Amino acid sequence: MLGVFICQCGTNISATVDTGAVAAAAAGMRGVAHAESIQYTCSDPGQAAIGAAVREKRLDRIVIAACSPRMHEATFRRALERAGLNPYMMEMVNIREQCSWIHADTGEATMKAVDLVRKAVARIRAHVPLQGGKTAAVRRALVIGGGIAGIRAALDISAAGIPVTLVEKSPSIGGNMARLDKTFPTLDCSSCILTPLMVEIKQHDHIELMTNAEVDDVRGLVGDFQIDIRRRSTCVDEEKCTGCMICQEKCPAPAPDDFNAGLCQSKAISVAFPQAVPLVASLRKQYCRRFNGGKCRLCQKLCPAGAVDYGQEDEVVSRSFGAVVAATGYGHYDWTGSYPTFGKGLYPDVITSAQYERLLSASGPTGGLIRRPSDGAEPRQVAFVSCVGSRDESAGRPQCCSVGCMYTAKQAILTKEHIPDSQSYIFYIDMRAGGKNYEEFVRRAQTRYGAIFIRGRVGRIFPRRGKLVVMGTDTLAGDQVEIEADLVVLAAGLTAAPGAGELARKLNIACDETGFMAEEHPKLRPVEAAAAGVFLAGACQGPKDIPATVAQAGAAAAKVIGLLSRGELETSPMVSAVNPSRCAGCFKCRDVCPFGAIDKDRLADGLVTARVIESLCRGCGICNAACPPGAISLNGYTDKQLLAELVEVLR
Amino acid sequence: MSVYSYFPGCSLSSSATEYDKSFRLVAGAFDIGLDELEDWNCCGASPAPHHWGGDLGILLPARNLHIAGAGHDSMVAPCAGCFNRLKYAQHELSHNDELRRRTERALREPVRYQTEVLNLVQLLNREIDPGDLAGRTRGRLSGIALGTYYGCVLVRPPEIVLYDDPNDPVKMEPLLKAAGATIPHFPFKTECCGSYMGLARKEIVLKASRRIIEVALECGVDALVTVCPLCHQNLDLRQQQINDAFGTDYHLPVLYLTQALGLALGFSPEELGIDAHLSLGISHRTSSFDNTKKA
Repeated sequence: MLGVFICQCGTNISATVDTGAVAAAAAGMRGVAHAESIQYTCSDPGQAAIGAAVREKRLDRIVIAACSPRMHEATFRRALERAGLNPYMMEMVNIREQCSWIHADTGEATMKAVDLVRKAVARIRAHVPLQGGKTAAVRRALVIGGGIAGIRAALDISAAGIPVTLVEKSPSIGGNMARLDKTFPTLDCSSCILTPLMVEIKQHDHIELMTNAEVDDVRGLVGDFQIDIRRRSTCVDEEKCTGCMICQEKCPAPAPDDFNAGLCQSKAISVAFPQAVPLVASLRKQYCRRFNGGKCRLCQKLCPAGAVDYGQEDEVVSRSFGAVVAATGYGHYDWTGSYPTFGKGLYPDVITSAQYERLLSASGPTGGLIRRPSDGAEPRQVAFVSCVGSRDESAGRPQCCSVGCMYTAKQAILTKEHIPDSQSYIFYIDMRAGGKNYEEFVRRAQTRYGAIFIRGRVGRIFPRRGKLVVMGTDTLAGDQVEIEADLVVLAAGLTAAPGAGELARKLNIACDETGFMAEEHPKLRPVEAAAAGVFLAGACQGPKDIPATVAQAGAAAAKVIGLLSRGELETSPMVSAVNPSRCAGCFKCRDVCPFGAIDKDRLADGLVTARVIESLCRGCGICNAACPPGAISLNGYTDKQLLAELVEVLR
Repeated sequence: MSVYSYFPGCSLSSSATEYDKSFRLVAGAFDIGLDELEDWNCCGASPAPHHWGGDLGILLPARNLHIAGAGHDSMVAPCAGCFNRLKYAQHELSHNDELRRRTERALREPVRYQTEVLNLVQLLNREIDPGDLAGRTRGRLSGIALGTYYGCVLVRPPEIVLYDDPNDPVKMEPLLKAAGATIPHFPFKTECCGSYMGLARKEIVLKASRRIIEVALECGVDALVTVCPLCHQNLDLRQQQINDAFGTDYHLPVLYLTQALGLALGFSPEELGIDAHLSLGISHRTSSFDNTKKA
């Protein structure tokens, strides 16, 4: 006995599809004992109506025409379970995203909805009850990225007793936050609040820290990911190195200082920064004399701990994880290509906000004194340009960086505190100060610190008499303005971290059109990625500030804990199954399976047939199509069911 | 020998005859045939179409395109303003059917508007091999820093003129470099010169053009090079007005691209009409250009 429920979804469906007519048509279909149209089927009364119909009409299978199964399939399966039915005796028909939202004509949309329902009714007649299994979940989580998001997530997960491996690409954890001077809107010192957490990671019994490491390969699925982690050779034995930095002092080969945003030089062998965790040196071969044909072995000779090992090779470590948190942070937009009128990087005193942070920081290359790069002079007039590579369609970047307004106001305040007789000018489009105490903070920059805010874009930056002229418009005054500045700071936009796209592909999760990793649902599943068991924390999902990053990292940790705390996971019964009496043992199925879910099975009579490893099968159905004798079928999607659907569609 | 239809426009036949003169010399030196368009009319950039409105801004260049359509495959319009109007008309005629029908009513026949329209830089880059140029100029411009000034309408709007980077055009550089000149970084290469505001609001032009000269000198430019007669007018003709208005003492030569290349090829400043330039009349650098021939 079959029940059909047509959801109106408020007016989402009913404005375009005549749901009453669809219900009436369904009532006349073969085997249908009950059909009705419900305002919100997913709501409590909607689910109660399904339960009532099941009891009254003794229904044993249900068709629900509503939204996408991605939205509410799980909801309705639970509703069936409560009504005493097998949760898999249900078929969803998408008449919202694939019908009412994309069509305008009510007559045609209604006709299409009826066709879709007829198709599902034909298919569900062949449904059989299915039983999901349980599988043990590995109680260990992988956190990728050691910025504040990864640090917070790792600490929160391990606090629940679940061991964590934290993988960081660079030589130290700390990420972008470690490079910041002070943080808005409280002006507390970034290092002071971050470094204790970095140390906690290092000392934590349940956290395994791997720096200079990246995810190489990902296999398996939620509950049991097998992940290869490549630990890049640094030519330094981490166990022996004490971080004394003698090697760095004596190394003759200069190399870019990544931590200081390229403002100064470091050495080929170096400690990332004085507060680095772990506090060990690493050698970058591309800058080292020994690795570029030279004879230098100075660091090895001088190392008091004997930690330098030129023969060290990359090491690939394989581990099993129940869940993964991606916390790869953000990258900096390279403005030089799209803003030729700002000098293409030719003017040394046009710098980015990230570089300015290092000039402000006491641990930076100038020891916290603001000195402009060209001649080391202390600037008096500092011009800040907001939205460089943000909110600018001509640069192909319409998105807001969401932190530029706030950090620019902060940098103006800090400029005044460093140089009391300085004057800051801020070119802005709108001041976006939506967070708690943010608006007050911006007001303080204006009133107490005297920063001059100019609403308008900058058109050109050019040199004049040893200064840089910042030419733009004041759209409030309707006038052109020229500011003669000693230093220009560009609030360059935020991008996805370099390599984020490649990692996303390995994790089988999606990125959005701006390159950031995509959440499963923007409102209701904000930390879940498209692949089950993979969660997102921090700016890898989109630009965000520290409070939002920490909050999301905590949320991702809670999801991991929720997933792994019971030690086992329910598995989907919608996997492939082999009928051994039909299997010819050709193993075409094994060739096409993307998940390595087909194994050989030797039967008692010596015949070799295919066998599905259910824990690896994801139910994609490719093997079904490839099997010449039709020996493999997918539970819930048998040939019989698919043919029944086809017949109805073609009728 | 490739032959092009030549659209001189009003400037090259009146206030900028030295541009026409130097263009013909350089074209001759490289065997580029120029066939002046017969019975051409205003390109549409003059103030009249702007003030009268209506279709005149398209109809005028459309008639020129129509005449050219019966001749050679390509037409060169050295004046950046003419180039812009002709490209604009082509764009509008191919995207706006209603406008095209009105144009055809005015012309009383189907309009031929598909002739390839080239600006001067485009033509020279196509016809002159930099290696050949370098061989013939023997470094006559070496040691001279030329500021390439493109102005606005040569490269904007980019979706219509379809030429070079609107914010950072570079197409003049290969030829001038081949001729031995150095091209310093010049951030004002597309900054507005004040354009036709010289008639109604002269002070705007003086302010805008002053800034271009000021930045050019700051960047170590010995002379500006342009392909736009209106820019030339504002930067050269009005340089003394700028000096009078702001108490400055600028003597910055402003050359047409064809004059700079002409000098490099060994033509005399007189042959190229450089003696007609007002900024040179007040320039202490005049002598340096006389010397180029002897070099």
